[in-house]
Amino acid sequence: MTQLPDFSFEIFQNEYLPAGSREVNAVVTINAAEGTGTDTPVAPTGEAVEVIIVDCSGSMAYPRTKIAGARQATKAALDTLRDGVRFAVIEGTGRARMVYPERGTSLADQFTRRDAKRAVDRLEPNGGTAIGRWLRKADELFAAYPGALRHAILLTDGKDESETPQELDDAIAACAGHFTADCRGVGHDWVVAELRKVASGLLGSVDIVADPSGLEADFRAMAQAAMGKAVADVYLRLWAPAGARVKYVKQVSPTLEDLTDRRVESGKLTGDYPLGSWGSESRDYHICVEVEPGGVGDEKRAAWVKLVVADGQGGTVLADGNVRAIWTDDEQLSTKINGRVAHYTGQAELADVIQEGLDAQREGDEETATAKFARAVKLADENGREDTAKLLRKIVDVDPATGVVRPKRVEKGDLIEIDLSSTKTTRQRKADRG
Amino acid sequence: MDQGTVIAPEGEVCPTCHAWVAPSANYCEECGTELAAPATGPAETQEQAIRVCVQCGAVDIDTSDYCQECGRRQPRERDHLEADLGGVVAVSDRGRHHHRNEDAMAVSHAAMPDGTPAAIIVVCDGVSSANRPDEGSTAAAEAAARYLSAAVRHPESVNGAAPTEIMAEAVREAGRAVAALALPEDGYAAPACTIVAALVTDQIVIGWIGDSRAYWIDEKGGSTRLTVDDTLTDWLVADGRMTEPEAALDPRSHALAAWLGADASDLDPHVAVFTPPNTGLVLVCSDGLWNYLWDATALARVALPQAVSDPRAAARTLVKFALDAGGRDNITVALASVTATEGTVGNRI
Repeated sequence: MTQLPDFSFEIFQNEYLPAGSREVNAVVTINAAEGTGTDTPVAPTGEAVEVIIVDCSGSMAYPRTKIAGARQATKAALDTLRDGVRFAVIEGTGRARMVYPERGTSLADQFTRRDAKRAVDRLEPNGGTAIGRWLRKADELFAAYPGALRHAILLTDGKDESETPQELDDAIAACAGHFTADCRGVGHDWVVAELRKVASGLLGSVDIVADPSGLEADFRAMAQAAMGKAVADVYLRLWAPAGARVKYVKQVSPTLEDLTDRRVESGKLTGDYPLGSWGSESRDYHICVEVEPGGVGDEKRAAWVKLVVADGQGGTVLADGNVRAIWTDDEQLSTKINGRVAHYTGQAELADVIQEGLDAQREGDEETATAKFARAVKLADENGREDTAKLLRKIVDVDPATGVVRPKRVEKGDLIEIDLSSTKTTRQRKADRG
Repeated sequence: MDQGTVIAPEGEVCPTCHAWVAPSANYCEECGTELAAPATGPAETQEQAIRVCVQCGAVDIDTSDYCQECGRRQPRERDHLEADLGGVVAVSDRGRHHHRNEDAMAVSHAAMPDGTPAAIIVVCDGVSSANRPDEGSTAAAEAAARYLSAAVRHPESVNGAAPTEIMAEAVREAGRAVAALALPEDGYAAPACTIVAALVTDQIVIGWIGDSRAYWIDEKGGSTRLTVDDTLTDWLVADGRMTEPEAALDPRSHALAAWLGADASDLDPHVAVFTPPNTGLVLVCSDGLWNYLWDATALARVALPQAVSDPRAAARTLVKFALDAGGRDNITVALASVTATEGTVGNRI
């Protein structure tokens, strides 16, 4: 299919620590450029499976453009599937029903694509919303192709109300690691936290399509991106010395994603963090480890970071690098903060402040919410997050001269967009890379 | 690690006459001694031994020198170096605060065509704020020692130049070696270092740039410093406008006014000649030592009396003194002993 990308690994850190201190921070940047050399197959079997899940709950009928947009988008996504890719379409309501094919998956060609599109045209809104059951249905389809690149697109417009939150959590846990899923919310009645939980658990993205007419382009882009992935089942493998504690592992670019709790022990002192599939793209990870301090002048490897692709055995290492710690009593060395680490620390703080503001808003604590959003505006400005700052200014007015903050009338859609924007980080500009 | 380590210009040292011989040579050019297999260096013996982590005792050390158990980076060979050619010795240590040794040393014996023995000792101290200071100091020390050794053995190759001119050229040669290491991306942080070198025959010729120093350690009590640092404070001391204890406390005492490196143009080496009045030693060192022992008499008190009979022990004692006093910097000291007998003075080999 395609070639294995060329992976490169960069570690940004200040390796100098003040005497006696334990915490080591580093940002790992992993780049994959389109492969030029070896003709290694993509996924071990060279296969790809795409499942599209379309919410057909009753609310999709209001306004009527929603279901029309969803049909249009699904058909556009089907058109992007290369011949030979396995695919299926699922209708989601209070249960999951196969739209095409009747069972299992079909191989994409001009005839199956045409038949699938006809079936999609017949989709009608009717019923509830049980996202967990939709995911389990998709999981059944993927189960037949364990070595393939496995991707789902999930579209919904409402709250997951036909099952308990526990049922959804269980379904996500059951599917995690089996396939990746990009989730899209249409309209303003869906719950960001719910869909983020799905996307996050299944290593995909979450976003809003405020206007149903925008769905088609978005679906096409997602399907294309999924087909462009070159490696399935990539892991970040982290070794830390005896006595150390991995405080956190976060993806910090392109979006914020805390991976700490996804660790799977893979050896003595070593754990794996699943990263999903990888195409020609670049991602940043912030790693924070606490180690036993060494003496002044001593050097330790605080973490050994490897990018590993599953190969049915121990995994193939694609790239690796060291996070180092050198203890010094030279304050000039130890007090420098690496530019990248500082940048993403700021981005994470912004996300936290926005979440605190949204929580206060939901609880009706207007005063706290306004204060948090005002702080968020300042952080967004400082961190070069112009889009987020612009969204925040829709709900709070900050007088540039006095700094006085006044709340504005809040639209539900604004809050969803701010929520989604909070975890989309920006990369540091080249000029101030440190 | 106490195996002798010599940063050897042009290969190995003849075990009989201590002249430098090419690595591939079967016989010594100077004295004709048949050369056995090269002396085993520390690297060779270590490779075969099971390596045990200095921190946790684990035997799991990977190829990049990290302990697979506790993560501790294992000490580098360069953390502590000793060289002993008999009468010419050097000891270098990382100290207690720096994570690597950026000092370098080179010691050598050479004989002039008429058989007069000469000792060569060189110490260089890498500038920490520059990139790759350890590579800079190594290149400089080797280049100077190699130049001096060749000039002593083959005076015709330098057109019979005076020893002071040979010394000045050796320092310039060291400067070129450091400058050659600069990479475009280094910008203003190209490798840089200091140098102090001594060529010891019946007289002592010293050459230097920066704040590494040379001292004369006199058995009979006339010890004296032979160099003036390229720092504002030491110029003031030399001028009698500041005392040495005052200079030691002055934050400007380590701000170099001159150094070797790509950004040091118009190199103007300092050269001094000293005729030893008695038996004693020439000592060259980095500031890691003189920070704690700047006064020649104090240095002599620590080094003597063993210095004359056992210079290696004296060099170790001096390094230990600096370590015990705090070891804030890398410490390197090189000694060449000088014996006065029946009216003649010369390096004792």
